[in-house]
Amino acid sequence: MRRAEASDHTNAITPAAALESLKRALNFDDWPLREGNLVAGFSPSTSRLALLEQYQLDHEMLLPVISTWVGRRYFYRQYESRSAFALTVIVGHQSAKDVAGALLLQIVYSQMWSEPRVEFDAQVGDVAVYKDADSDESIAFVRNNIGISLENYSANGKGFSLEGLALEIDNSLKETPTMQSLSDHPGAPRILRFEPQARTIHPGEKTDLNIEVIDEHPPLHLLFDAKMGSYNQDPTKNDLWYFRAGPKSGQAEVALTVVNDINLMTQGRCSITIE
Amino acid sequence: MREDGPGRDPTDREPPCCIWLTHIKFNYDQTRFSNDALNIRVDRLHEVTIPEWDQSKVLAKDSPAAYALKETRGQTIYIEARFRIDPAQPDRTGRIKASGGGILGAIDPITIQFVNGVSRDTSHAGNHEYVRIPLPHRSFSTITRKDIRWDWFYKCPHSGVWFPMDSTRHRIYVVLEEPPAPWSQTVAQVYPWTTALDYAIVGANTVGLSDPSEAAAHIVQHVNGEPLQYDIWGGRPFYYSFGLFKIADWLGGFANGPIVNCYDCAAAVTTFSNVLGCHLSYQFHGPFGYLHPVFPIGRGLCNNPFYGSRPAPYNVPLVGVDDAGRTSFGNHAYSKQAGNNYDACMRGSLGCARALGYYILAFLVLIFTFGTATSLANRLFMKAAGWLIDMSQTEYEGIVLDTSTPAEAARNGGAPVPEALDI
Repeated sequence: MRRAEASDHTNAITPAAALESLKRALNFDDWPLREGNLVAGFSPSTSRLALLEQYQLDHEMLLPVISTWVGRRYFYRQYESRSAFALTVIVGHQSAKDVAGALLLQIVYSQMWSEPRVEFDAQVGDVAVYKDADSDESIAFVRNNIGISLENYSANGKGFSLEGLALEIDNSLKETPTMQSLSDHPGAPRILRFEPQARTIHPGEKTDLNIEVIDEHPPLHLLFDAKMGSYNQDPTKNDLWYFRAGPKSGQAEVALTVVNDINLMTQGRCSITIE
Repeated sequence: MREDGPGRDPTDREPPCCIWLTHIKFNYDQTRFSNDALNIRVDRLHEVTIPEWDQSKVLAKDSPAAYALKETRGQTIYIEARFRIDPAQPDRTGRIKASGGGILGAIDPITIQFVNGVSRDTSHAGNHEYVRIPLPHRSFSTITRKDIRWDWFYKCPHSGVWFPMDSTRHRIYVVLEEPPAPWSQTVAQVYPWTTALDYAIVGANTVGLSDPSEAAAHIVQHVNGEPLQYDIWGGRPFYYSFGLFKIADWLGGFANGPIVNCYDCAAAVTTFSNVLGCHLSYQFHGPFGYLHPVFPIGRGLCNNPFYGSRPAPYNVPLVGVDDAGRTSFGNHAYSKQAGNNYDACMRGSLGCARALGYYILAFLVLIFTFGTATSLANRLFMKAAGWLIDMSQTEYEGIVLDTSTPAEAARNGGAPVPEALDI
């Protein structure tokens, strides 16, 4: 028998509900995560992982920046063997629990139906999550505040030893010194200056945004958010940004998030009066 | 910028004055769009500056404007233009007109008042140096993108001769109505992007369409025809993350690679249809279930969508009908408009009887409407070819979802829920 049409949402599961349901099913609140031992960023490109040397980075994609963590997916390929895998790195800036939640979110946002399996004393991580209980095609783990997810994308049916790479990454993380807080850590980018050229402008006018950032791990991603106007890149100079006021008067705000290559971020904001 | 006057044709008689155009605004009022152009941007990082045309703009693509059919219907559309006259005097008048104009039409002769050499028009509340000029001959009634050219002429005070002034080129987009979310006319970063309009109008060949269902159907076809392949390993998204469509990566030559899932396709279909003024919503449907044999994007016939990550005998796309050991969709995403479904992530394998049914229906529609309901007939022909467009939930699930055995029915059970989509 067919269900009712779209107006009947009684059986519907939203991603948010699916996440909560998954957390309950996996006893998420009881996971033995290590809080207060923060690793200052992680990137596969700077971690000298031997197993990665046989692979080429095909592309990478920064996940939408959430205030407490930075996520990035790296896609590696080996063209001769047609093996490939995706490596997702999530760097928590405050807690391991945020990172573990983000890893579960990755599982929820997948179309493949599976029953994940969680291990607390696995070979890798403080907590390891196998997306599919019967398969090793995907491994995720949390070590301190770093979340790692590995997914096999090999076309040859054999693929790559995800467990071997997971172990190598985990060993690298275990050897990395930890700290209690990442605020003002020298590995994170620092915004020295983020201010408009003119504090007050008329509706429709523009003002340059003066930005000065120092960082030891380039390249940097600059992500903006603007209210009551727009942020814009100068068409002739890629490093020049400006704010264009909207048609209404009021207090405009521009937020800047800077993410560096080891997935550490910093945020700043400035205001502009439109009158 | 050339502020010192236009080049003059040496074969012409020397005019007693010189009038030239300095700026044109199409979107002179950013709070309305029934008498002027919509707010648009080039892309996330680059704005369309207003005035859209000045003397530095030579190519049509550098002077874009977009209009909404619904909101401008029955309304007079205006542009605003600024002129200068030489020699400058405290108070002078001249006449201007423009031929050509394509879908915006020619500009009838109007008298311009000049104060100290600059045009002046106090009939509106904006910048009085700009003259508000009606476009009574505009002629657009369908989605389109046209490059137009105006050849401007002027007549000096007390003169009966029209002299050539300048030619201006502009790229004009026409959409069905104000593009809904994820686009906006109030949040500047998501004003409709011309890069998205180019994709949806030119790329998807929606030029000439005026029916939102048919426009969305063309977007489905175009998205499905991209050089992309369904993620047979895990059904994970590469252009969609937690409610955000990474449109710049999509438009930037598929920067995140050729693998996609249904979230990516649904986000693309919703975003690119809506930039045309369609009203699609992104729908998350979970749990979903087992599939009838379908054609996932970029793949062959398949009822076992995650065969890339399965050992034999489930490492192949097509297994026995009703084999409960095959993989299934834990959830799915597609788009809805007016209650009907649009899905670019796969095509149906209809079978002869159902396809024939759609064909017959299409021909009957054409016959009984004397060929006037071509949009509906076109959609029926598309359905006959397996496109999952403009289908009721029941019709859609009948083609896609396999619930014929108790095991298959048990995996089903969800319903679509609209999810917010941002870009």
